[in-house]
Amino acid sequence: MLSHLHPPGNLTNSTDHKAEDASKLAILFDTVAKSKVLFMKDRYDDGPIKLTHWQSEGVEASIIVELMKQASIPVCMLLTFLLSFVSSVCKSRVLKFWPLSFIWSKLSTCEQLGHRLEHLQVISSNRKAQNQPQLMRKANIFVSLLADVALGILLMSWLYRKNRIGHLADTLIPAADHVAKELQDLLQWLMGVPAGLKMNRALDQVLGRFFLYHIHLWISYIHLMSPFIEMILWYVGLSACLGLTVALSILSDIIALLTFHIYCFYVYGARLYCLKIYGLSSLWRLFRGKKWNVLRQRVDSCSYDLDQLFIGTLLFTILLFLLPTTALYYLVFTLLRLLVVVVQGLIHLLVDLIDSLPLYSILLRLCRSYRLAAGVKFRVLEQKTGKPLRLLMQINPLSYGSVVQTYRLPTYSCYPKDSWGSLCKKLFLGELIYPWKHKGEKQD
Amino acid sequence: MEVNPTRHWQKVLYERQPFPDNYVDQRFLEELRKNIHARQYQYWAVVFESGAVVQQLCSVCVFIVIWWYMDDGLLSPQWLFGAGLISSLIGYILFDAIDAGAGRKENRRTRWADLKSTLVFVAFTYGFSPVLKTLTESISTDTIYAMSVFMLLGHLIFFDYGANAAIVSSTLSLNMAIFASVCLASRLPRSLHAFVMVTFAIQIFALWPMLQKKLKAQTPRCYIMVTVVFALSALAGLLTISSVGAVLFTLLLVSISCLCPYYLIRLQLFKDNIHGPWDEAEIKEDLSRFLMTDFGLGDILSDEISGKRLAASLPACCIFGAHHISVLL
Repeated sequence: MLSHLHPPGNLTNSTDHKAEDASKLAILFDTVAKSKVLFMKDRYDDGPIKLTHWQSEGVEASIIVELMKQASIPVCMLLTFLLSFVSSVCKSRVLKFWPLSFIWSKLSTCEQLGHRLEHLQVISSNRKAQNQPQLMRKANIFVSLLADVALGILLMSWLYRKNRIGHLADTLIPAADHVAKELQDLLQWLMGVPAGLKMNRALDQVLGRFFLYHIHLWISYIHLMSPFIEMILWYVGLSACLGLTVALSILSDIIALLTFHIYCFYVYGARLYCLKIYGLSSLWRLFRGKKWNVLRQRVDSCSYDLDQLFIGTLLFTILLFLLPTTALYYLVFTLLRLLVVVVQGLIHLLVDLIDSLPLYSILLRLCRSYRLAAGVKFRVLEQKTGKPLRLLMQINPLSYGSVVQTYRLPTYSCYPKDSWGSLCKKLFLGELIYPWKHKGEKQD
Repeated sequence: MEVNPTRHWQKVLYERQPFPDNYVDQRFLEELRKNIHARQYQYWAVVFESGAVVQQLCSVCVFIVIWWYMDDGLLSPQWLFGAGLISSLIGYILFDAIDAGAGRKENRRTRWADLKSTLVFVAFTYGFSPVLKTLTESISTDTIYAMSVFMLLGHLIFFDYGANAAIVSSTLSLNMAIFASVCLASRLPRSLHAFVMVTFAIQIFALWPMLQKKLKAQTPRCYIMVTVVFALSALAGLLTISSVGAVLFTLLLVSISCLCPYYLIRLQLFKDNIHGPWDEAEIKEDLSRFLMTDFGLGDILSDEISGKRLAASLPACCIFGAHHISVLL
């Protein structure tokens, strides 16, 4: 592989030369530094370790490499065939029906597996990489896949030793029970007089009992599942051999499934709160004798009938006095939900990091820094009158930051679309906040 | 610039005149006029008009007295409901009888619509009365009282007494009264009490003013009599609760119906408004006339503005081209 010139703006050629011919020399060196021909030659590979076979004196290495090259062709073909089969199964009609496709899009494991499948397809394709970035991309994907799988197998070997899966299963059920217990205590607290707030007792009791019943359902569901948890974990743990990222995605999904009751509470609370806020805002307009004009997108005055006014004001009063109760429930459950979302977000961030880190480029930069050149610099070795000028040319390696920036792999997920302001507005209005990533918008 | 005594000064800008820019002509104050919008009031007419305010004050007073009785258990809800029903029926018949159904024909409101409204009122109030009962349980009574007082004051402030002002909003006033009544009703001991209280609030704050307005327009003598009787009954009710309150309320009513009109007429004498060519121009006619015919604009402008300064109407006139405005002072 030849080293590649990166022509970004940080092209520095510090030259030591005399002042009189400074401008001429500068122009000359500039052209030289920018010319690609310089970098097409591979004669300057004189590091301590010689890996590329055409430079080593030994013929054995070159034979081995050639053999590996030859052997990789059928392997790649087989892999391609298998992958195309798998992807065609994934894209088949059977899995496109509504409930299945919906579930696929919400489980991060499926997303991650699909992403890895794409990666494998890229690696095993027969087509030769046309240019340097594509080649680097392939190599990066390969190395990051290898590293991922290696980490996953490490994790698996740790998990399956000393019956750790059994311990994990034994702690998982009490943990879920504990969470449910804490939630019950929280609801009991909310059903009393929380922080001395003026709650509507009747509505408070109704909401509290409703949520308590929900927790009861949840606990019975968990207990129904408990005999199978260990087995499920054992099989799920096997998936770690597909890579650490897949294991992490599965962990994120398990967290989502185990905190499903919190999500339900949040949705109920948010819907109720949203209904109240919208009702109150429109009834407040009625209270002032105004209405929202849809055609002109503004608030107009309006003359209401007596019965409209009466019912509107009655509902307004009722909603206004019930608002604090709903708002408190909404607030508490939103905080819980945000906690879960933050944990899941951290896991996703880690997965993204592993997915997108260009490991091969970084390794290249570490061991063969001249391969990733940002430019060259010249140094005057000898300058005597009557003799030609002797210069030493050195390659300026690319900085690590720009290495990561240039060779970053695209990830399947995008970060939340909302800015902080719109997030706060959504929270205030009681609109649902989804942490789910949206497919289709790929981020580079 | 040389002043030529033979030439008279003209109030135009389109001609070059031999006068300095700050020249003030002798005729400047000829157009000064005083108090052109001042109205001459008759004392008894003002007292008659103040009846609307007195009535509304009395309505609020009666409502509070009735609520007090209900809260103390002196008045059973059944009795109040029956009385309210009978008085509503009488009022309904009177409402049509006063103008012999002319208003009904004008509004095109059928009896079926009235019945529907009544059903809606009763059904919703009855359905929501258990909710109303528990609505403000946890909120302190003082907060409720303060809220109700603010809402009733707002009702009195925004009520449509017949004045043409921006602050008047009968919708807001009625809504505030209903809000106050719901607040107060939620303090009553049982849900039936709450239901009857809210029904009574509709009768006294929504239906009674409608009847009053009609009475005032059709039979003024009757209206005076009704106002006096209503005020006296409100006073009597208040007297059974607190004598100090009754005295204060009497003073308030007397000052509003007798002293305030007197002061209004006295203060009219001190009115000193001057009007003249320096006033801002008012465009009295509809602007659509300008939009329709552009060519006659100069005439219209000189008609409308008649030599006044164009400060207020300048933005409007800018649309039609500055060259038309030749009559600026």
